[in-house]
Amino acid sequence: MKHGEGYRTINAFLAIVPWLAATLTLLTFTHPVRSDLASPGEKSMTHSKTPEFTVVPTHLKTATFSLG
Amino acid sequence: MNGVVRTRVGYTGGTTQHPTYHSLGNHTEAIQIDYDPDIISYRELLTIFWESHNPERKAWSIQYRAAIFTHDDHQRSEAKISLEQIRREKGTVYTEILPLATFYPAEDYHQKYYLRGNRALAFFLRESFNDPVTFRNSTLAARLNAYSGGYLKDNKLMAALQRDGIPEEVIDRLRSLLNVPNSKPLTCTASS
Repeated sequence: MKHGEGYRTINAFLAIVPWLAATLTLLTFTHPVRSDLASPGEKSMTHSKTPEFTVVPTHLKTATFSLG
Repeated sequence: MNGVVRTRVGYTGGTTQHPTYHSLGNHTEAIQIDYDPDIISYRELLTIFWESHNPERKAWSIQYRAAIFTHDDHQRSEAKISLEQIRREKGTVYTEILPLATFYPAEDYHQKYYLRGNRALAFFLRESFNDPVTFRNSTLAARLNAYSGGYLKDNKLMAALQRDGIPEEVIDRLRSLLNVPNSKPLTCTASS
């Protein structure tokens, strides 16, 4: 590496820092971290788009009937 | 029904592979229920099942026979006990107890049948559900289906949705779409 190229690399990196920070901030607000995901044995909501109430399958039981 | 989390309709009890409504083979139309055993027991579900059909009526086709499809030994034992009790009360009972084999979900247009006919919720459903499987497995859709079929009244629907943890903004939207007045008590604030 020639003398001065290191500074140019650092300068180039520093130049994108504000853009990187802005992008991350934007992503944080537009794609919030899913803190509502179910952990084993817990009931939870998933609300990305579908307002579906989900329960961890191991907790549930299933029954099947035919009423005729 | 408190404790019932998901519902789906489909075909089971036969040997035909991948049945459809128009090619049912020897299957029976059935409903499958995912329930929370901490809230509602299998015995309670059986009680509701017996109250919901006429076990003395002989089925005129396999498609429409009344049956309990048991998932395990516990269900089979409970089902047999309940059947014996009904038999003592009524005499001849045609409802069968069969082990569950493969359950084939019915076509999408059969799922949440009442809800699909609710015009007030049509746009809400379109914008809320990504795909048919999500729609079929949604607790919210199951509750709204019961409501649309007349099995759940206004305030009981809202109470169920709150119990399920549906966000307030979704409940308020549904309240508005369904013209359900908010029964929350009004609070008075002192004006300056």
